[in-house]
Parts: sequence; structure tokens; C-alpha cells
Amino acid sequence: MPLSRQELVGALERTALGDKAAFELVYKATSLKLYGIVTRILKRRDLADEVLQEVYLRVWQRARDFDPASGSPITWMAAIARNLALDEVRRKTAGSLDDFPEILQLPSGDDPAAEQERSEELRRLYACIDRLEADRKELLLLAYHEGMSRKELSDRLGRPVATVKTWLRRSLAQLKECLGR
Amino acid sequence: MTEEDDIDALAAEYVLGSLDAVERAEVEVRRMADASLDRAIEAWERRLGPLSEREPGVEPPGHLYGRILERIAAQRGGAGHSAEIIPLRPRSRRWRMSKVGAGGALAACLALAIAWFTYLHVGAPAPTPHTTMDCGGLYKDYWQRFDRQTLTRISGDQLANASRLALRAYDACAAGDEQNAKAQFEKLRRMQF
Repeated sequence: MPLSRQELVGALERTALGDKAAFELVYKATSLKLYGIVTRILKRRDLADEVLQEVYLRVWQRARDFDPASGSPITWMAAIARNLALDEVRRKTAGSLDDFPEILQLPSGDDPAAEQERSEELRRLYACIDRLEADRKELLLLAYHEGMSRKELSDRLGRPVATVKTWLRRSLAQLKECLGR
Repeated sequence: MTEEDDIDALAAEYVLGSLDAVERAEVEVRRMADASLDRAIEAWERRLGPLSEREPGVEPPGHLYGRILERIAAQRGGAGHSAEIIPLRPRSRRWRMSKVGAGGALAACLALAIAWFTYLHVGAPAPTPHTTMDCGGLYKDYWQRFDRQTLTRISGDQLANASRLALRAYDACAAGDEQNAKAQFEKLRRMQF
């Protein structure tokens, strides 16, 4: 059930006051995306189910920490989901995406339909990501979306870990400069 | 590369997700004592956050929302109260000691990581039934004093010892033994590293 950014901010503010109906709205509006984020990183249903519960417990407990002036509510919640999933995947063995027939491919970077859907923030970020060399862009997106460590990226690309680290850091520095903030 | 660049690169990789378990733990420890790292992480979350929009999503199992509500109900009280801090015990003592034994600054950092991870915020809190003291607050305040300088100086064994004593002080506090708890926290504060 889609909520506008403003509606989601309002629901989070009411959640911070202990309003369970507002919490349910938050869950219905965001769980599809957050479950997608954690399953893409963990690739295991048992872990994804556990982590998603932790994510919403944190949202319930910390809704009052969300500051609408510092970013969008979904970005705030996605950061909670990613951090918990990344901590978990580093402790446990991830599964395989093959076990998740329902997980969709991420939209390709040059899909015009996907381009239309992007927010202004994502368009600006993507314009900078597109300036990176193709293999570095792939590394960056694999690390972000699939939570792959330098070692896993190194195995995947057949490059030394030190090279992966250098590439990632240079790419991130380039992005920062390109975004100008 | 300046120290500022170094901190920024570490924050960037932390948010990107490419650090291994030990590095993630180190960052999570350091950000508690290092405001510049904490700010850098938040800035990178804002920069890279829009990428999450690309996630098309997966429908979670229907029973999960019920499980979340059960877990909320299992906590005392509800959201909207100030979060209480309770120490989270390491799952395995052997794990803790094996990390502490790694030697050098890394061991100190790991020991501190373990110490930091021995408390967490829980929402929905009610006052500890046996005492009016803010046991979680005292426990957290104790760990807040560890800044980066102390971190580089302290040995893993010293930190593991401090962690054990702090847990003991918290337990005394939570059990309502205020005099004993106060004495133990005071002793901890006087410890020199």
C-alpha cells in the first residue's frame, strides 16, 4: 500500500507515540521493499524473516529518532535494514539467490521506464555512478545491493582483494566529488 | 592520505557494505567515540541511500507482522517511552576470550567492540522493578568514557576485565543492591588505563 513521503513521515511520528495503527501503516507501506533489501543480502529465508522482525522492532523503538529534515523515511528505514542484514550475513553463511525465485532482478541502469520512476536524488546519484568505468560500477552496485565483502567481490571478479579495495575507495571518492557534498 | 580522508573512506565502505565482520565491528565501536566518523557514516547513508529505491521488493510471509507485534507486546510498556539500555551478554565466553587473545591494538579494539556490544537499546521499557537507579544509563555512561586515545592505549585483557566488572556492577544495580552497585561503578571509574 503506497504512502506518500509526507504520509509515511506522519505515520512514523505517530508510531513514535506508540500508535500501533500507524505502525501497521508503516509496515504495510514499507515491508515489501525492506524484505527485498534483506533477502537480496542474506539470500536465506530463515535469516531474512528474523532480520525483518528485528528491523521493525527497531523502527518501533526508534521512530522518534527519525528526523524528516535529514532525509526520507524510507532511506532511514532502509539503512536500518541494510545494517542489520549486513551484520547478520557476516556472521552467517549467505544462501543462494537461486533459492528465491520471487526475487526480481534490479532494474537495469539504462531502462528508460525505470529512469522515469527515479527520484531526483537517485537520478543525480546515478548520473555520477554512470561516470564510473563499467567494472567499477558493477563492483559498487554488487557491494551495495548484495552486501558482498571485498573478498567476495575479489572472488567474483578474479581480482586481488587489494585491487578491489582500491577500486571501491576510488569510486566512492569520485562519487562524493561528483555529488559535490 | 589525511586522517580525514581515511575516516571518510572507512565510513563510505561501511555504508556500501564491503567491510568484513571484524572491520564492521571496529567501525561500530569507533563511531560511538568518534563524532567525525559518525557524521561521515550519516553523510554516506544520505549519499548512497537513494540506491535502495531500485529494490523492487519481495512480499514478506504473512505471519511476520503478527510475530513482530508479539515481540513488541513481550516487551514491557510501549513506544514513546525513553529507551532503556540493558547489557547484552556475549553469546559465548570462549568467543570473547579468543578475540581478546588476538594481541595488540586489534585485540583492544575487538575487546572494546565486545564491550560496546554488551549493551543495547531496548524500547518499551519499564523501570527495573527492583531499583529506582538508571542501571542501563550508568552502564552506558561508563563505556562512553572510552575515547579513541584510550582505545589505542588499552590492552585487550584490561578491557575484557573492565567489561566483566561493568556487567557485575550492572547486575548488582538491577538486583536493587544500590550500595554495592554504586561502589562497583565508582571503582570502575577510578580504574586507570
